[in-house]
Amino acid sequence: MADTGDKTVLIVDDEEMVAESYELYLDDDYETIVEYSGGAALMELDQRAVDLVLVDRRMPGMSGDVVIDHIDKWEMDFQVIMVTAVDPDIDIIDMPCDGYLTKPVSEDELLAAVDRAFRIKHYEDLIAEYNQLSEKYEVLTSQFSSRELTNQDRFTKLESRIEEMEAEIAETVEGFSDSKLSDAFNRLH
Amino acid sequence: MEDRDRPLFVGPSALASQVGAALGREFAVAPTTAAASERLGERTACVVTDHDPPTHDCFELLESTDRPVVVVPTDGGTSALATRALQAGAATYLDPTTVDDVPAAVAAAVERAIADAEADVEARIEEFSSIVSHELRSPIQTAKSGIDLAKAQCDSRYLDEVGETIDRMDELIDNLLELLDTGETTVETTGVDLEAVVEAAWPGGTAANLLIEDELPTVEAERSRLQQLLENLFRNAVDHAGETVTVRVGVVGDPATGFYVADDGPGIVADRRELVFEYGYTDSEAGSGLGLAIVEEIAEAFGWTVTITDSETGGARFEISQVDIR
Repeated sequence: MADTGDKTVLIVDDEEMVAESYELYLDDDYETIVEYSGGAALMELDQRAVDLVLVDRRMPGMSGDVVIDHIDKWEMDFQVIMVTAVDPDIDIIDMPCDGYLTKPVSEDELLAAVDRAFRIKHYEDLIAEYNQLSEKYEVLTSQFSSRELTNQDRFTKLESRIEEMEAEIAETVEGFSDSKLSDAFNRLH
Repeated sequence: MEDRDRPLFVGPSALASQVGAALGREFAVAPTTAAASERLGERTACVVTDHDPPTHDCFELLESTDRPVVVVPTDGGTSALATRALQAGAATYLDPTTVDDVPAAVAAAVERAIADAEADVEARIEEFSSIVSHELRSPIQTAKSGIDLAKAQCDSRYLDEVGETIDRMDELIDNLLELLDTGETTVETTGVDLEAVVEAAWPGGTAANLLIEDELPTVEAERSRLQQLLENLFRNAVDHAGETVTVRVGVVGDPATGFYVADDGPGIVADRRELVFEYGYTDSEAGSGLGLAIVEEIAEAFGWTVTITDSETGGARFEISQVDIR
């Protein structure tokens, strides 16, 4: 996967000590921003580009649920991980988030969850690009004979890129530390 | 169904038999309200009572129990009686002169009252669990965060020790929440692939080995609780035998009547095998004494039995029997 140093994580938790510890865990690998309320987090998101939001579910004032509903409505394209002290219930099915962590969260658990969320995003981006290229490949191969296409330098590049992407997708899937997730993506792919 | 879970009928025994037949469940019968009060326990599923004081007095009964009560005045009722009974806490009031098939109508009222009472208990457990979860885990998170921030600033063995204490508290809270979950009143079972649950329950990040020795069957269970049972057995093996332990899972009997979880650790001496299932019993400093108690609780909820023997390698072997194999 690409270098993580250029990724920005927004941490939102009303407990200052908790937010600072998340910052400490993530600081070596990611750029971090900390906010202590849902409202401040939304203002931050309006002004700055972030790649992932780590948000506490129960906060005074604006809850984490409301924050991620806004993010969903605004169709913002980044990963969201919800952190909460309450065990997940069936309602998380409808929750627009990419990960769910139950407090207390250790450094290893947090780093694994963030890494996994970024890997999923990377996988989704790869699949979107792969589908685009495959579509073009299908159109061209139905329009022209293989002899006509063989001599086309740009078509050869397209074929190479598709092969490269297949290898990259397989490598990304293998990179998931969770074997169940790898199996699920392998089935999809 | 144990006697203590049976519904109780206060009134004519002939009607009790008819309602029992319609319900497919036998009633315990008390001839008078006074006799009923002595038989009431927290596990009485439901009480059906006539109202013909002083022998049968639904108000006296309603005052002495929190179990769901269905009031059926066999000589016919009045709207005033209905209002008073419902205000006094009756789950249902049924005037038998207003229905064609009295046993069937009472049986339906009993089923409804039991289902409502169970749903009420589950809702209260869930609410309590949510409160415990939030009010205890949030300060644990704050404490852990504080320890990690302090460790980044200074080096002290005391910080490690406090950190370990907090981890033990965290484990204890997890166990308490599991216990609340196990205590829920209804268990809905279905065919569950035992091997898949064994693999899901095996702890991540451990150097211990898992060996599945037989083709594991599909068992009648509730998946989440079965996984909890296996997680606790695996955690127990790793906690007591260390990270080098090999845990074996296989079937008991031919044809299979259960399954076992065995390890090659130090084992459990014979005179402690009953004790380990008691709440709060532990022989390890880090243990909460709840893990194996929860195992037995879950097994009982499924109608299974758990026994401990020696494994072939001298470790502990937990044998789960009377399992409904599909």
